[in-house]
Amino acid sequence: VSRLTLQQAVIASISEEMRRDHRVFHMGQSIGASFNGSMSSGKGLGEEFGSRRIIDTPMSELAMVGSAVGAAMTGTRPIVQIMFAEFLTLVMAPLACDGATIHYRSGNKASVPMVVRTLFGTGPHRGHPEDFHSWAASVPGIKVVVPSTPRDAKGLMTSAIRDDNPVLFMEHMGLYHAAREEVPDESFSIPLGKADVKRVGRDVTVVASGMMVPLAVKVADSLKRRSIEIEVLDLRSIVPLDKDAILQSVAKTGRLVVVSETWASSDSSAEVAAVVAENLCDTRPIPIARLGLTKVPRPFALTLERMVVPGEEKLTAAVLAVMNQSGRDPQFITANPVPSMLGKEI
Amino acid sequence: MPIEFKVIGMYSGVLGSTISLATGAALSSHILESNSVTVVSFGEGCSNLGAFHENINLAATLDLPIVYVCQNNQYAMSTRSTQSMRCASVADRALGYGIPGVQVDGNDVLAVHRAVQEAVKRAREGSGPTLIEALTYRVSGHMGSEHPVYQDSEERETWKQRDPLRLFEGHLESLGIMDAATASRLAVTIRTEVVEAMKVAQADPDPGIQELAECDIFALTQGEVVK
Repeated sequence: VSRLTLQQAVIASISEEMRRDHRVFHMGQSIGASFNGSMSSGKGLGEEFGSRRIIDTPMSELAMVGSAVGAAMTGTRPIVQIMFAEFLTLVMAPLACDGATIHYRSGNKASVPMVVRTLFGTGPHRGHPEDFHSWAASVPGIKVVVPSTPRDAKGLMTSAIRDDNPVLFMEHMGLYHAAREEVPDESFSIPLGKADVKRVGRDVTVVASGMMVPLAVKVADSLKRRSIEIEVLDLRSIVPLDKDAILQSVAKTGRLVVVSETWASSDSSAEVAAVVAENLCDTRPIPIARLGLTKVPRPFALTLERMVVPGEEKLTAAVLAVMNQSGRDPQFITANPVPSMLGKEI
Repeated sequence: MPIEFKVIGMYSGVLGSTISLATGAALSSHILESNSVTVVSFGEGCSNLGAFHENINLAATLDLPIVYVCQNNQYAMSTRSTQSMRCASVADRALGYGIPGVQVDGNDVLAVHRAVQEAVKRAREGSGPTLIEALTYRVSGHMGSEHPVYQDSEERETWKQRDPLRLFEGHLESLGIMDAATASRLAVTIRTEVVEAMKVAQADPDPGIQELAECDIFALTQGEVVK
């Protein structure tokens, strides 16, 4: 094993797969040997694989994704880097209208094995934090992966590259060069569609992905001191969604908080809440809270950025709110109860 | 998986997507170092899309083996090409990408053939893409049934006289390869064949619910089992 950052783990997977399969290639803007990608997202790849397989493209996201779809249909396995998820808005036609539909519309005769990887999220980069993963997740035919740890990132990227479908792989900038984790040196894969319990707990299920996972873990650790046990479920992939894991956890805890780093309007967190409501609420009431980004365009000022993104305080409040709501554990009803957040956007 | 008949069709209603898909096919040839050349055809309306500019530029920078054939029929729905571009020919746009731009008479079958063959040869030699403009005219409405009130009827009639099939027949007759009788016999045979094929297709049952197959949205990756 090696102690790797998320960035190093992603690169480790890509290079292993490129060594293993000559059909895999990577294109993106400034990912080659002279610059190694934004935030080192292509580090070492250009040097090892050369400019035929690590392609520095013009600033043409539409053509990058559109041609990758065509390449994937014709015998290669492209990995495209869309530098920042903000630019996913430029590639929706080839990704959602073509890439997502070709296997189906060809009567299973063609397939589109490609990965679109992109940086996103609040973090040290101070720009381009937008997270449009829900746009892709809303279209049948695109898998969406959001890893939260280096080990997961490596195993999930390997699965994404080997998958015969378009996969959107979201790399969080706040996690990118942050916590290291022991990652196996040999190649391994983590199946897409398998959530991971990052903390076991009996009182509240917090469903999260990406940067919201370490946040949920932090809140879980701090509330444990107040005898509230949070189960943190890291989705790892938004599509396919691990409904079984969600239902299993919420059936146990009876309470759900879904936390997301993007606007809750039509965000994939709504899907999680709906799955629980449809499958569990007919037998007993289950308090559900959704926590997302304040509905304003992403602010640049640090003070404002901290206010709009879900943090420790807001998540703690949401957890306490669902605890209060259920009324089964009166000891958690505090002297100064937080305003009820149930059924409301926070 | 192989593409049937080596033909990539339209998979969405978004115009310009085929330019992207074709560029990708050429990219595959580049990566796999194969001998394949891709030819893609589209209208002059598409030459105003980002997909056209971005893909041709990308193909030019990588010297991809591809031929872009623009059929300029002078109308994008009701919009006349002179209203949608300032340059005289779509071929002029090639200058901006540093590749050859060739304008040919789109109603002259042999001229188009020659231009495409030359461009394919160039692509196969590793010299990169070519943009060909085949200048023609749309002699029907955009949707077939609508009457193109936005066209000058005299102009339309003039172009109808230049039907590429008629011109080519005349050419073959002048060379003594095919006489008028053979041409009309052939026309009847082909028409019958197409009408029969249409009948067969129309006699097929309408798709039932089993064709919806939500399970076919995703391709099964090697080793994956259906749930």
